[in-house]
Amino acid sequence: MAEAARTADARGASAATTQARLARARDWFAARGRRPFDFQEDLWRAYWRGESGLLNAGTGTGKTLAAWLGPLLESSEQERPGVRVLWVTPLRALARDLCAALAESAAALAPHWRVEVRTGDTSSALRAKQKKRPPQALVTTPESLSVLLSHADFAAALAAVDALVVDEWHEFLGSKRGVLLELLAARLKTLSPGLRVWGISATLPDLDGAMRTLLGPAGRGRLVRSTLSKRLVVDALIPATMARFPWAGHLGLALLPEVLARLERARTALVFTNTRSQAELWYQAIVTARLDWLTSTALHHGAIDTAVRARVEQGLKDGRLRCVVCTSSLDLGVDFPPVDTVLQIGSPKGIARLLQRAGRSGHRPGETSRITVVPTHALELLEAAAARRAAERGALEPRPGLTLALDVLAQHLVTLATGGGFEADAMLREVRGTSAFASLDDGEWRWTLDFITRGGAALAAYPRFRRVSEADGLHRVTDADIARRHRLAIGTITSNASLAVRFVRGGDLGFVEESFVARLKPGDAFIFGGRTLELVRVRDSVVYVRAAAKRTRFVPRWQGTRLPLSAALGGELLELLGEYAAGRRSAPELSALAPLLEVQAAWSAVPTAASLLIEAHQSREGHHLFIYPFAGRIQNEGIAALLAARAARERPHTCSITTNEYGFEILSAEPLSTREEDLRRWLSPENLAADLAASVDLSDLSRRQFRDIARIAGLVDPGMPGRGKSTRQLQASSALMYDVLAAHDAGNLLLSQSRREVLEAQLEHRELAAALGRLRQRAFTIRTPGRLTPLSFPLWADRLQTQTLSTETWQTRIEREARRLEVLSDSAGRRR
Amino acid sequence: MTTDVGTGHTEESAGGGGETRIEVRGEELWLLPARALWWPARRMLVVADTHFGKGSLLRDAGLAVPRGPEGEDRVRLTTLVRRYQARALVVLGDFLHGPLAPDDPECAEIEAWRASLAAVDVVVVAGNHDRGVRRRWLPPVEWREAALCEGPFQFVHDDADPAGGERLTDAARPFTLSGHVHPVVWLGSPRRRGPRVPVFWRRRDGLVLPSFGRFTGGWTVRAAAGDMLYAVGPERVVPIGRLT
Repeated sequence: MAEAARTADARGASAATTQARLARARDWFAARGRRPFDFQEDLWRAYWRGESGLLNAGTGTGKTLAAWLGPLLESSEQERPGVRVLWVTPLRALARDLCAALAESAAALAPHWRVEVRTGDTSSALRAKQKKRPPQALVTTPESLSVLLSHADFAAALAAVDALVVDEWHEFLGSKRGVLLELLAARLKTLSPGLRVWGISATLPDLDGAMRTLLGPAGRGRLVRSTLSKRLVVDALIPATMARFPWAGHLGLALLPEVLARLERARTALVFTNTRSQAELWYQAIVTARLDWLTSTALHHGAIDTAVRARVEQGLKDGRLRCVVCTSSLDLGVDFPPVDTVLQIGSPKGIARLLQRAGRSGHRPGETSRITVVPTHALELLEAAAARRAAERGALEPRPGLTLALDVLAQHLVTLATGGGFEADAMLREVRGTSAFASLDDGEWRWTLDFITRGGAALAAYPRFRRVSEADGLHRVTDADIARRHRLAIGTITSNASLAVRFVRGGDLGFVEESFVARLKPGDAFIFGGRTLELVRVRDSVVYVRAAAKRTRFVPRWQGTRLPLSAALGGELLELLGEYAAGRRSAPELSALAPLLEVQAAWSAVPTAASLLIEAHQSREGHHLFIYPFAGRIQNEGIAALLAARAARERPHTCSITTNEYGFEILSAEPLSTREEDLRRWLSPENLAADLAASVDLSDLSRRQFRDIARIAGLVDPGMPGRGKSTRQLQASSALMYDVLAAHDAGNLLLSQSRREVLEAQLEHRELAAALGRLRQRAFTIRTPGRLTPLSFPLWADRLQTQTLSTETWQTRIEREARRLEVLSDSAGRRR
Repeated sequence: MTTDVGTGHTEESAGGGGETRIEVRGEELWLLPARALWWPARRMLVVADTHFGKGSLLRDAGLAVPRGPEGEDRVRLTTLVRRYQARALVVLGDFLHGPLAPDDPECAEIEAWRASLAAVDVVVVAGNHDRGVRRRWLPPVEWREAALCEGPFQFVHDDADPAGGERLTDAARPFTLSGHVHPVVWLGSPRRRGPRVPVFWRRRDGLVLPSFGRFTGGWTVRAAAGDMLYAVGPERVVPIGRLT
């Protein structure tokens, strides 16, 4: 007892100090006519006791003050040179507003404190000033924090940090930026042993796990939950007439009039889409329909120039804009108080994401957040109902942290070697203190050190290589050129080979991917950033354009923007279908879908959580096998590839596979067995890893996966903005690098990491095993409907669209087939 | 076999070595799957963009490239020279990726490779990457800064500006063999992308060769009407017509 009290005294503040600080905080709240919430005081107290932890709170609940006032009140009592509070945010765009929010309370409670921003956008003048006189509080991103640590003199200023606050930790979790943050937190703990680390996270299924990932396996922490829960409403725009044979994109803009009516009633609305191309199309459609809204409607997505995006965000805050069509680019961030309406075009894909988007409306505690799903095909109506159900039950997608990302480790080690150097043994202890690298073995550590010092494990293979060198027990980068290029490479974690889009007369519009531009000829028109542009020429990584006279519907496709349906949402869908099958119309969306589901039930069967639906069908094209696991596009793809490969192993055949979020089609010239025992054998979870590796072209997938790894690990040159030609000599694509390494250094661990990432992240090997395990529990319902059904029709239409070049022909063919099936189902209905 | 210069239409035939034979200005040229061109009448082998020393220069800059690809390229080149019993080997520029230090092990390897082909004339028409080579280490080959002219052909590194700029020459000029852009195309449809393959790019009055070096990137061809493309597969060169 006495022992415990002594420890508390030594580590934390005395009761009197705590009371004095609480009083100051309460006074500050009182001056604004408010009182601190209990969870805010809980967090401050825990912080003053010397504890680290995780705050579970959504936007608009007072989370910023909960994490900020503790460190502010404590650290401002005792002045020390250097940065005292580091605040890390996932987006640069958020840094400015956060900084303003933090500065507001600092002005009253610690007037001598400076709160400043440090991101890639920070001017060189301010950077120089920060180096000479570091601000007491610094708002930054993981990448900019890394850059700071690569400067030996700034690293010293970080030895005084008392608190590291990681805002929106859920956004980092499960990504390589999250791994980088874990390493940065470990480094800061070494620099400043008294450091307390606090994460702020939206609700996740495993909050304790999320906290452990941030604090390290040995770090103990406190979980503080905001007691405020906002009311949430998820509904859907239900079209007046419902297609019984839906296909992707058919409904497309069909609900535009209903969307316009919603926007009419809104003060400020956010219209979320799942892809940038979709955002462009909807923006065009809205402003074409309502020219009078042209100046009050804006477009916001990740490929648009940052300056333009910042103007749009300001317009939202000021309430000048009526409507912003956006992608995940506006998922995060500070509040836009005027927003009262949020629409989601197309599938919400995941529950956590839908909640996040819903949270953009109704910010103030006690207000209701509402999101309306606008289906782009009939089955997305069901997804809206499923998402609402899951949200009500709090069934969110799990988000485990990544482990053993050697590319991130290599980058981090070079960063520290650039910023004054590190000692290998001490570094290994520090790295193993993170959750991501707790299980790093000696061989992997040795290889990573070899990689940055010699290029690879095989010493002879890399003559003249120099990056990091070891002298007097310290690993350091001594070459100024290599240091400069490494700093540029930090933070280029994402972004594919993209080209700047610029007006011929000057003016940046944003970025498009090279693969899109490659399909355009000068004179071709395309839609970008809400404008119709004409390609003039491509020169030195810049796409020069002018405003186009003609109209087009050609929109760039950006890669990496298509998210699959989550397993949690897929499970809810099956639950709902099961309720329908049991005769319960438990959601308005189910009633709206009744015409479609009745046809499905009459011709085949409705899949449920208890039964896996399999449809076999023969046509002039060949033998179709449709299976509906409802496991999301990626999982379905894996299951289909596995089934096809296992069937082919027993009896050789060739087939074509088409997948969507709900199921897949295998089309083959020879009939596949539809006997249950065969299907069960082909869908078995046993021997999964080996069979999967044999069924998909792993080398092609991992070559693509290698793109990010090569960039993060510093295997490819980042290139220098504005210095296009001078660095071209150092350019080699990651695909090229992959091939060269595979041929000449097959033991390179980054190659195995790439294969592992394909299996784990892309094919989601573990989830696939779980999905197959669930399939095994279900009864198999095998049907031969004799024609396409409402569930198989979209798969058939998708394949046709993918295989045929001319858009005209597939459109006509699909429309003809849809009409034919409608007529058939009408006559079937009459017979009943 | 005829060639209509006016429309750029070419008739071609397939040969037993996987090559596609085309006729240009009365001369037969073979497009080889090894990304090289064979001119039987002169027993001349033509390649472009070998980029020797690229790995070395990248390693110098701190990029961890293993050693190997360029050595393999030299072996492929020697094999070709032996197989066709070439009298001359012409490299259309970017022989080196950049100036090499004389003590770079790559230099010794290039010297040894050249010595193994003592009976063959090796001519390099300097390319943009070869700039400054004279000041550091000059490879033991016939080094030309200006174009080489043989028969109806002129051999250069960069044939004007294929990105859409104005052409340097008029219709009366000799047929130009060049490299520089590393032409490739994506096969497949716009919705489902196929593999990316190097191509020979036949234009109205010129032929652009794919890059010979395996450790080089590619530039997606913007073909104009009338151009012909020949895809380089692992075993055969296949005419694919216009594809972008």
